Amino acid sequence: MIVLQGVSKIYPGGIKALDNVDISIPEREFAFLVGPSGAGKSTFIKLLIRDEIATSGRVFVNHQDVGRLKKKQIPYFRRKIGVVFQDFKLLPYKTVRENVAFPLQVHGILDWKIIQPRVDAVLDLVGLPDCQDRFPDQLSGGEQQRVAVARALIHTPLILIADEPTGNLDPNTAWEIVQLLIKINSYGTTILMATHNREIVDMLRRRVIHIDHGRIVRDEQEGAYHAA
Amino acid sequence: MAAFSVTTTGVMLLMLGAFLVVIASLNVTLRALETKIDVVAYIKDSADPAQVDNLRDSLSQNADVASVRYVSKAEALARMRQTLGDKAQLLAQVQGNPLPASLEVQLKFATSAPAIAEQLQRQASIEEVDYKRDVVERLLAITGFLRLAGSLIVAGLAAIALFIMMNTTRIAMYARRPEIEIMKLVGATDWFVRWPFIFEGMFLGLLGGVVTVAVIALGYQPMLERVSALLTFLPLAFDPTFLPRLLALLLGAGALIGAAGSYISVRKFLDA
Repeated sequence: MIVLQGVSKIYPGGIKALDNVDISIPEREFAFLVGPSGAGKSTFIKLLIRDEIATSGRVFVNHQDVGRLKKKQIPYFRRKIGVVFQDFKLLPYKTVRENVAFPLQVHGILDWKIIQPRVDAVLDLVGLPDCQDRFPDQLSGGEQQRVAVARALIHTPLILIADEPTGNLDPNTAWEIVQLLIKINSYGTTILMATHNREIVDMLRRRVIHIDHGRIVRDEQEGAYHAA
Repeated sequence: MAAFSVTTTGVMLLMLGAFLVVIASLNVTLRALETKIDVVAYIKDSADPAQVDNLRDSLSQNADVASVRYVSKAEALARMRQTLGDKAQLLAQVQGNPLPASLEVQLKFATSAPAIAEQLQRQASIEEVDYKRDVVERLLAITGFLRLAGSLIVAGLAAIALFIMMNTTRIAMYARRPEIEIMKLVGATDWFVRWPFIFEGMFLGLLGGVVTVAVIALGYQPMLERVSALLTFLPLAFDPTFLPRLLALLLGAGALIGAAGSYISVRKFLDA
């Protein structure tokens, strides 16, 4: 679950990216974060993964006060969150298997007897059981994003944050990725997806949080991309 | 870039090694010169021989003294005769033996010369004490300067090698920025990110050390012979354990500089 209480973020130079934001996303929810470029979506996400710290207000993720985490606690905090990006952020010189296994290795799990079954399971879940030995550049965009989702899920996070996950994909592929996220949500993972993809938002009728100029201008259950 | 930093570290270590060799040989030479400094105490003709014996015994028990030698009046005269060579017949003009007996005190360290000289001067049986005051002082000044200058140069070279290693690591880290970004994103601790770079730096430093050690191990003996041939008047007898110790030191210094340079760079990078 995600809670923001009176959160503002002002960057050096006085740019106000978020302005007194209050929001609560309960466990198991699937929420879209929409709004024009520069509205504050990226800042919102950066605050959740402690890439930035709120100038004022408090951010809670998984019941932890994110702004008050000590530097040493940050890695352990992040291990409970999965993140997917528009540009996939896969390591080009690692195979699919190695990319997906990477978070586990980073967490200190080095025994492939433990890693391999989990890699098999998540790649099965994202629908890519047969390309573990391929490199990212041998895959299509949609396949690469599936690998990225698999990597974000391998450590069974409570929350999956997707920042424009369909931004680089054609409509059909985008739709497949969203279907995948819905499936993951149905297993109990809270999902927050920032997007510009109007069709997907309108089709799914999930919660829509609309940000503009750093403020929440609309927050609707079963919402559409634009206000009705 | 890695090759560049290995080479630079190697060159730095080589210069460091060369300086250490020079300083070590200077130390040996200076030590040799220092022990050549004698304090000569001329004994009054009227002195009580028992008193002189006592003095001689107490001197040889002094920790700063290497050896004490009693030179009798007759021996002094014989030396004079030898020094004069074919002009020795001049001595025939002299009535009796005008030369005093003396105690020749050889010191372990030149620094103790003034104190020993003063101590001797206070003895009733001693007429006069002589030591090469200005030579001692100049020698001490030179030794001190060389040791200071050497240490400064070595410290400066180490700083340069460290700086180059820092930059190498920084470039390596920039090249692997996406990987580091992903590591941090999926919850890598700072140490998890740091270790590989620190090992890499250590490895590069060690590699530079190996190159240096190879060069020094091959070049040391011929160079020593050359120098000894040039400076025949100086004893260049080296401690045989010096070379292995130097090589171990250079390897250690290479690894340390590599690891330290990387560590500083990685810290800066991760805190930024």
